[in-house]
Amino acid sequence: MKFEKLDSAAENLVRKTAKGKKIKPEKVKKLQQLLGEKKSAYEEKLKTSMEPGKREKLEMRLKVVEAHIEKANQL
Amino acid sequence: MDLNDYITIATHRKRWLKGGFDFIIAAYLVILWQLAIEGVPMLKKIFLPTILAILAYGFWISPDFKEIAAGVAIFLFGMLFLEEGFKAFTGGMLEKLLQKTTDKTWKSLCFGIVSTTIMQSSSLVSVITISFISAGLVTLVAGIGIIFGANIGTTTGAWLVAAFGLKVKISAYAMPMLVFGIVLAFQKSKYVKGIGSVLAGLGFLFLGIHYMKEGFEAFKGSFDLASLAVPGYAGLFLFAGIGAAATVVMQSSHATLVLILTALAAGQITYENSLALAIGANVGTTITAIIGSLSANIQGKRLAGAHLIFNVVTGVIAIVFIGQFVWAVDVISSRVGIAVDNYTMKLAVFHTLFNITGVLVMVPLITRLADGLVQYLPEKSTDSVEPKFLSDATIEFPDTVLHATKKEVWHLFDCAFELMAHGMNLRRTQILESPDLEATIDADREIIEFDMDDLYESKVKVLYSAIIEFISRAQANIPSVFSEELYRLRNAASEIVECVKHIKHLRKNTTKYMVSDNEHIRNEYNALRFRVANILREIYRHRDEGENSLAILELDELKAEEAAAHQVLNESITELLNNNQITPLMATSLMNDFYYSDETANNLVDIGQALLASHTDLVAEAAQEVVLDEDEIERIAAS
Repeated sequence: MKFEKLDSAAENLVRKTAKGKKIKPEKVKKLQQLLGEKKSAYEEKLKTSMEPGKREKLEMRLKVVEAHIEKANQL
Repeated sequence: MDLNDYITIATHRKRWLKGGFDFIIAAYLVILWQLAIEGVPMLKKIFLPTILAILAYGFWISPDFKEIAAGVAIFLFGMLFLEEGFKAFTGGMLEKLLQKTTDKTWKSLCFGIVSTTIMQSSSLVSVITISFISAGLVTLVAGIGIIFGANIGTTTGAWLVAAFGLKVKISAYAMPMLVFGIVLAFQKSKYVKGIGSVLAGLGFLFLGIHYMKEGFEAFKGSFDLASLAVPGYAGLFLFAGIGAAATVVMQSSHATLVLILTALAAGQITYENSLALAIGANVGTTITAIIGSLSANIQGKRLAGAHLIFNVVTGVIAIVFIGQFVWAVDVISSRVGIAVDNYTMKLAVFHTLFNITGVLVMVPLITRLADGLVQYLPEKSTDSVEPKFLSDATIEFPDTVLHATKKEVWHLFDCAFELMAHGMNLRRTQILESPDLEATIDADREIIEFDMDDLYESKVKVLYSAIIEFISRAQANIPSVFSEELYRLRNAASEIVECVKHIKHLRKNTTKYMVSDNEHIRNEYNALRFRVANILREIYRHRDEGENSLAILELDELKAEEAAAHQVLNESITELLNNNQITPLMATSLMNDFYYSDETANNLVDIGQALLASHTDLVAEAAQEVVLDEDEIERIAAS
């Protein structure tokens, strides 16, 4: 193996173990799943919450989670 | 000249040589004594010139001594290369392994044994452990476990040298290793460089052993060190002292042990003397940890203390029960097929045996030892807050630098929390423990009297300066992949300071209006207090709840709520003013203070996101990628 190849192999190894690596698809899926669960929980709460102040807050939170899901889908 | 003249000259020379070696031994003891009574500053002054003078004198009187000394120097150079090489791999891998393998004492012990066996340097393992303890990544008990394990791991060096190094012509292996090692060490990649340094290090170690061996072989003809042997316990203590002094000078028990083994193989010292020298080398090696701990915090100093206690106790046990140990070594040697006269292998058995005995004796006392060290080496109590986790001992290990910095920024945040809470006339417990924070704030009328400037100087500024200084120095050493995270932490520290300054501005009117008879202005100021206190509470809730991969995203929800509140509060001020419910003076104060609370709230969310971000939890790492930016938050708040 040429030194350049050895060098790039080592660099790849670093990239895999150090920060700055590409996020693994299974981790993105896990994140999507957690965000999905959060969204469902807020939707459930919205169904039962009647107080206007609380409803507004929940709606806001729901919008934030939806924005997160949208971004996660692009990862 | 006739034969008698030659004999007379030879006799004089031998006496002269003996006098020279007596002088060297005496000088070693003087150095050790100076170290004990004067401490390191004195040592620094006299150490180098004394050593150089001794070496120059030794070279002048004996070419063989020159060869042995060169062997030791090459061996130590090899150790340096080896340590440098292994440091290349400490950018995450070793740290992660260490974190995972130190939750139980037996695991810490195994980590110490395995890592020292691989790296062949208990000093490197000690220094890394000190850096970890200083950064608060491992507990003192776990650190002590690693050090105990390293003492067993280091004994494998004696086995390798005794079984392999002294029997095979290792200089033949040294040459290709050096060539390959140096070629690789010149490459760009840090990791290839690291492999090169390890190879070159091993090559130099082998070459050093070869020169020591050659030197002692030649030395045998001109001088017999064995004639210096002193019988009984006096001899044991004398040679243990020499072993300790030699290790102090060389900063490596490994090098001392190889020197002992080569001298023993050449018949320059007796088997009994070599046992005492090995005991002394074990005690002397603690000096590396003690020097390493000088730049460490109190936890690092405690670990160095544990190292010293362990090695001294083990040394005393070995000296007191030397007869039993010799018997046990003979029994074990005969069982495993080591010849009766194979003293080098027997020395390796002895070295392992007494270190294992030390560990067996000390492991049950490990918690008591840690408690005792905490009691006898207490934290300095000063009026001003000192950095808890920043230490020079961590600076060479990138992952540790990140952990230490994050913990220190949390420490800064803790100190700033108190100032921010009191600045808003709230107590820490009210913010963190009230079941209904909003109601608590509405009902609260207590003004907390304190000097905010004074507390800022002693509790925040000191820590902040230390963090900035540490990060600046660390950035020069760490790979670029870690710089981004370090930059975020520096930013978080700056934002903490900004928050305190904003609260200082807020305090004046908050103190005035929170007790005002005008309920409208009182309510508005209580809303500002709640705004800041609620974010503080949320950040601490996430921290105390532990692993929550979505914690930083939940702070986005707070950000959106803050952005929405911004619009509501603006409208509210106009309405209050139009209805003459507040005076124009109150309105301008409120608008100014609204700006400060706004800035504080935004800064706090940013701080929370930087501090709660985890670079070990991969889902949390993915979550960092979907954090919303300011525009996205504004859009959601406006919709």
